[in-house]
Amino acid sequence: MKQLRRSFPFFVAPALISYILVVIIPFMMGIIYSFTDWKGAYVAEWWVGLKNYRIALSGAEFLYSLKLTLLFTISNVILVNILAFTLALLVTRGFKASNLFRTTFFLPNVIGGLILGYIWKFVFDVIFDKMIYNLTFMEFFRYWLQDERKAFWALVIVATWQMAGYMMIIYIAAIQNIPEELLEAADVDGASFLSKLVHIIIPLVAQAFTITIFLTLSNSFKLLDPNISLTNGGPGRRTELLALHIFKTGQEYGRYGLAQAQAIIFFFMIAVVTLAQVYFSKGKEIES
Amino acid sequence: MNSKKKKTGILFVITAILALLFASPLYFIFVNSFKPELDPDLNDILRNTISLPSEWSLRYMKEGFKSVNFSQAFLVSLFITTVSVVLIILVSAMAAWALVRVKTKTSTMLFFFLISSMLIPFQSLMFPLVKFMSILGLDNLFGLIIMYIGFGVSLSTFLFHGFIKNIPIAIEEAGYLDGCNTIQLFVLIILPLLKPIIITAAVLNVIWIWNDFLLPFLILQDIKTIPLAIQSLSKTYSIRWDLYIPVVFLSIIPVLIFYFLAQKHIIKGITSGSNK
Repeated sequence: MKQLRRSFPFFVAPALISYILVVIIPFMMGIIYSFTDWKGAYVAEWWVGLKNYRIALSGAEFLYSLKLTLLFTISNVILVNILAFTLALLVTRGFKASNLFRTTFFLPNVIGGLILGYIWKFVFDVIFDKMIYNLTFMEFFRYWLQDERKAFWALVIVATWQMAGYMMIIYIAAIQNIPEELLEAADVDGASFLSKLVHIIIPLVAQAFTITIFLTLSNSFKLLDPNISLTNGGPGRRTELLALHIFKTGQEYGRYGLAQAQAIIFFFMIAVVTLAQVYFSKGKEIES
Repeated sequence: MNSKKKKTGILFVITAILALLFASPLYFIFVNSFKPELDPDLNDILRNTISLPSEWSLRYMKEGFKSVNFSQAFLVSLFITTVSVVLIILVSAMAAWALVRVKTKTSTMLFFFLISSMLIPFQSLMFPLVKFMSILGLDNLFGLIIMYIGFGVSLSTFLFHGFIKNIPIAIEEAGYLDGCNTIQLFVLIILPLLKPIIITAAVLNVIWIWNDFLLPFLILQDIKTIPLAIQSLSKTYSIRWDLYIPVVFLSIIPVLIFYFLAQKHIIKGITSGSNK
């Protein structure tokens, strides 16, 4: 392999250079800019020290977005994984139509988040509010995107609809890896489905849980596109998740320095939460 | 035995209902794209929102198609996605091969350096990225492709790295003995061996880039990808469903075709990407 060793730089350079240009340098710049009053292209930046971080952490709207994002992430991680695991159990029961079901459940995942948001905006605004409400007069169907509580759940519904199929695929792979004999032996012993689930299936798919929870955590935390198209943060700024909040602080209000400080806080939160989760569940896996 | 059959029947019905629920939003978009009078006041939609159109009409489909210049957006999306994915695959496969086969501390470090970006959220670098790229004169279509390579190499290098580790090195040594140089070896021997994982990586990258909204939104000025074209409709004050519905429907057609063609590989991609 001496030849390859000589041309090592030639093979690695394209990936490395584009990665450094696009990810590493901007990320480093972002850390520096978070300490300046960067306002956009035509104004010089001044060093302001920790001021942006102080403003960010004492800003009511930022803290509200933070709280909302945490609530959203928790609800979403729970709902996505319960739904995905249930779907995986259902489609591995050997129905003739299993493949068709699987295809259907995964379908939302290949459609972009922005378009998904518009599809559901139609469901909530037109089908729920204008059609079903006008027929039934049930308050439940009203104002899904205008009432801040309902709009929050509307976002959770869309995100769950989007992510469940993906996680289902991971659960299916894990469930199919369970040795047949184990489940057959349990059947012979007359074990109920619940006891099979608790004593065989869940412990054996524990590794899948580490991955799916990691993915749902970080995807929910970073969710942006459906937020833009479904509510665009409204009513007011009451459904503005962190990603959208940071985007607007820069793009709409031109406070790029502040947006950058918020983004660095965002980065640390994601890193801490996801790494803690992986550490915690890896520990669990070994225990069981 | 009978009770077991009954139970399976109930579970089947539950699954079928869930599947219908999952598919229903797409069904609503589908049927309403072809209604004959899709006026902005939604009269036709409201009269029979969930039924099939009384008469199938392409009127609003055509109008929506024109209003967002859909054919151009489609070609732009197709161009960006194809070129970026091909380059991501090439560049990542090259890097992964060298990083696996040259066993030094530097390779290990470079590998972890390359995949560490999976922790960095796009929001934490997007504004500086736009600034930096405009300084370099790369705030255009060409620059966008370079950016996709930069963001894409992490996952793809990771996938190729795992795959190449399991290819016996003897094949390559035989290639050298036959007088191949490294480039010939890479193109003639390594790339064909990587075919299954190339398909997997390509499929995952296609879904990501085709649907990506934020990066082209920040970088491109007057050219529009499909997501940008849809978003441009929202600039009007109230939402014009008579334009939105057909455009949304149009824009998911290519995705659906791709999904049904590549479904097997998508599923394989997810399972291999999650085996960390």
